[in-house]
Amino acid sequence: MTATTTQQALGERAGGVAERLSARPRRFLPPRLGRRYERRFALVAFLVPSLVYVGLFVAYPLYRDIVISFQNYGFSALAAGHGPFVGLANYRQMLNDGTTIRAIANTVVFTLASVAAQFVIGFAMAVYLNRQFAGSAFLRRIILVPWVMPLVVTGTIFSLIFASTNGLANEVLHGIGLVHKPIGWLTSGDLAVLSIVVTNVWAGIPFNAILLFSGLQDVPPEQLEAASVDGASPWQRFTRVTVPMMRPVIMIVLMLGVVYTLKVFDIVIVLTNGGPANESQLMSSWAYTQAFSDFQLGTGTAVANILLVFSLLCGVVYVLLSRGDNTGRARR
Amino acid sequence: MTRNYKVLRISGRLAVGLVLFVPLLFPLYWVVASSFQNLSTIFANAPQIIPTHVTAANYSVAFGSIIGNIGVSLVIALCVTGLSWLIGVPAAHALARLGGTVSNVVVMVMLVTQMIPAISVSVALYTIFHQWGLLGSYLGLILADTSLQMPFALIVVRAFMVSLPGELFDAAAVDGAGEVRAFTSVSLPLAVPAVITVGLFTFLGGWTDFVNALTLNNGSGPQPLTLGLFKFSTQYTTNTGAVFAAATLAAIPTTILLFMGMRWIRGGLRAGALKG
Amino acid sequence: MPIDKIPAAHGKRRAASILSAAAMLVVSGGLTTVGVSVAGQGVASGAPVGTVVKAAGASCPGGVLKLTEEDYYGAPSKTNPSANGMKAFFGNYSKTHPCVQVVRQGEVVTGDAAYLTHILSQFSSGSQPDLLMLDNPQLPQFAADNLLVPLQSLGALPVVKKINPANVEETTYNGKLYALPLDTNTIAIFYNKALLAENGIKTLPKTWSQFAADAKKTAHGSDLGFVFSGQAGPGQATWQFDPWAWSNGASTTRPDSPAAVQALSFLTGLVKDGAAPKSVVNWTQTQPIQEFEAGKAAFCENGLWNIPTLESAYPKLKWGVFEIPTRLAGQTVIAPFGGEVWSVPKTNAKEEKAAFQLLKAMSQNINAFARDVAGVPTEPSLWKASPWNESVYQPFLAELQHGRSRQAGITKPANEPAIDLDIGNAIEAALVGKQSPAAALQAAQSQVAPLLK
Repeated sequence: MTATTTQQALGERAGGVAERLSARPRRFLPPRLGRRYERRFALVAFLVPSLVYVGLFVAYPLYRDIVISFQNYGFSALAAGHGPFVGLANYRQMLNDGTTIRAIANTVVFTLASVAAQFVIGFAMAVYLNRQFAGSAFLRRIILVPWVMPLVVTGTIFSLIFASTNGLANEVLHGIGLVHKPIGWLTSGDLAVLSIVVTNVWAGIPFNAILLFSGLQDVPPEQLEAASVDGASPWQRFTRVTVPMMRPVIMIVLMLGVVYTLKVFDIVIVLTNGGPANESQLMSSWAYTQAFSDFQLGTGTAVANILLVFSLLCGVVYVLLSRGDNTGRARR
Repeated sequence: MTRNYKVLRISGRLAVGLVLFVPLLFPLYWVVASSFQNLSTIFANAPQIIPTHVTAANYSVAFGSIIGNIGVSLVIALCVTGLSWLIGVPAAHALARLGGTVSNVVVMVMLVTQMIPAISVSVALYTIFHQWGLLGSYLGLILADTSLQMPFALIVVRAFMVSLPGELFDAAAVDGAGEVRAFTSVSLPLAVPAVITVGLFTFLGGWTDFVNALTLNNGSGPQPLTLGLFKFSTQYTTNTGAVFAAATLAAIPTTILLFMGMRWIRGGLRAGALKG
Repeated sequence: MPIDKIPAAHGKRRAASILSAAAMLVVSGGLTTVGVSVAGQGVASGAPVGTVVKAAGASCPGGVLKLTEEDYYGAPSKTNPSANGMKAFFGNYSKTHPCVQVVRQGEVVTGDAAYLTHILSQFSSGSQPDLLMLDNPQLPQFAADNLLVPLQSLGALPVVKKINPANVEETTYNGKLYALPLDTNTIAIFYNKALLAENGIKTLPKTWSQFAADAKKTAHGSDLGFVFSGQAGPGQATWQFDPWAWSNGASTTRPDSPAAVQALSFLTGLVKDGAAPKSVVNWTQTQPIQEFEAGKAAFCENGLWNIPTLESAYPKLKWGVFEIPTRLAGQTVIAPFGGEVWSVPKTNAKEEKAAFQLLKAMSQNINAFARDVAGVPTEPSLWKASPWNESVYQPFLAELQHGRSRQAGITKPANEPAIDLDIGNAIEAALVGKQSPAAALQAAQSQVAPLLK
């Protein structure tokens, strides 16, 4: 009640201001032109803060980032506040480092494996949830819990799960007799990468499941019925009717998956910190390690910029796919 | 026969359900159950699936440390939400009303900002914030987090406002209403659902941020929940019971938010990602 | 000093040492001054009051000089004797020197690079502290970048003659003394008496083969055997590897020497053999000592700074210390120096002089400082006094007598942190079996070579 009246009052006051503003040009210009002028002015005034903000906190840092990647920015540069220009040296040094190559390979594997697994499992869940059954509504709610929680929490939980002693993963595998000696999930490079993938898949499944569930609900039942009447099996109905109908949703879920998986940082920092022996570095964590713990801000930003190019390329594909009229993003 | 078949089918479905959902949900249960067990003694075994000796001791260690971080995160997330609204919603109105190439270009720019990995600008932000004296401050974290959230708010609210019928504005224009009034009394009230939805998402964005919290804190200054939990778990490496408790506490606020704001979140997911 | 020593990160372990903390306060002469005006945290409200009182009390030409001091001991609290000691000393100093007001900044306590970036950003904006504490391997970088004042250009420091010459060398750069080492420390092996008895170990191991056999005996079930830090990073893997390699005749300047390869092969072998857990590669120095405190490890390589906590917070744990075993019986243990050093950043003549006087006063109080920060004094003549005459300190003190600075032999000591990281990466690679010890150290050698020129 109060909220509405306040809102109205505010609205009236603001409207009054606008009228007073618009009253002036009206004297000199034909009324319609004046109002259009006023309208443009107000709209631009609405828009400018957002552009200034993005310019100040996104575009300017991006520019600075590129500059730093061409500088020798280490201990001395931090003390002086600027570093000497070194051309492509940071990029060369970065690419000569085996860890960078490993980080790029890990990032590609991590992204593709995560997106594929999230999608398949998420789709299966969506199909499962697409029927009404006792508890289905509750299930649809509760599966979002992993999705809303901070990835740092997810990473912490999985560091306990993958602990070599008393971790859930080893307990379960031991319990069903698959292993006899505890597996060092986080002490071998390949298993550490696998652990990060599993963690990220766990965190990403709900998002895929819910989006695909929404898409499933938009498939017209008449079409499925028609196919059924034509004698199509459930699997045929799924592949020949449901999937084609959901194509746009599927493309968006996959592309968003790629864009957001490329960015993943929290999980790897918390779970493995890129270790052991830098074997599980992703480009994001490697950029961080170089810049913020090894004091190589120049090479760190060089790695970060390669990641940026990857992300933007995927972003372009995404934008093209969604025909520029998409509103989209979702967390991750 | 049919009865048997039905039983078979139902139990088959149940089995599929278990295979799909148990791996997703069981870790949550395991963490909560473990958080009530004493795991720090020499004699403690692995966490038991069904705790036999329940203790709150872990929480007395974790709570004092985590509660302060929750407060910091709350302040930051609320400010990020407010600032994103303040800047993003009027801009969304402007873009919806302007239309044309300008609007498309701006939306594209905002969309691109969503693709940028936060870590890609963190070194630059670190040096810039240092110059501006914003390292290790609430304001710095709020400004940095908002740069990721505001464009999202703008994009979603604009999409909603574009779908508002133009006649509404025409009617207002006949009344002699100015553009400010068109915003405050036509598009804003109608866009309330979208505004609430993006509010929830920007809140979550500010709440879950880790990159900025880690890189812009300068060693001191406010520690949001993400950073606090990270430090807690690296400090209490052998007191796993306390880490379980801290992780549980850290997961509670977003879970509450999820259940309270479910209808907006689901709407946001649809509106945000599926309007193709 | 190894990064892990930072007391705030260990606050938990010090929880039970309120008594000793109180004792330390008295020792550093400050119980009465606690809560005066100088605490790092209370500066905003406290400083003006103190200033006013002083201005009225004494005639200070040019007013009261405000000196800022920066260390990483964190905020004073009943579980943080180091910070309490600092606060008390500076409070007392401000009281007895009416024209100086010391403001302590100790809130940046992180063990990673944050302290360094924080200090560097202060330099770049001209807001550096007047007195600066640094972890000793970081000093040469600051000296090389011309950020510090050579101490002896500010006056005489009689204490230098009393300090262990190797520690003085550690803070000397290009022939000039850039900082004072007040406390020092090193690492040895802590052992759990109960676990050794349980496994029938009656004599302490002296050689690698004895140690390997004993560690293996104690690693079974949930008992971990030997725990150490194998994660690359300042004050982690390389620092823990140094005494094994150095005592065997290796040096940091030749990472791929046969002596170094032998040492790394030995540690890698312990992990392969199960005598040490695989997780060591992910461990900083924090985890091993926590496992030891929890009674899960029979042997733990760690620093003497743990002694006060082990004594006060773990009364049920029966433990002892022995020197790092050597490959052959009779080799001398050569261990690396840890510990903080105190420097005077370049500011203005007036502040530099005043900071130097403050540092001089601190150097006359080495005993209390070393206690507060759980180190040992750099003046060997003080080692005969309590607590350093306790038996648990003796293996450490024996090692310190033959101690070596981590920068020793490095032409450009400012490169030490980078070399440390390269060797640390080699240790990690060998521990996970990515490379053989020889190959890993060879790779390190090729990275280190250009840094040694």
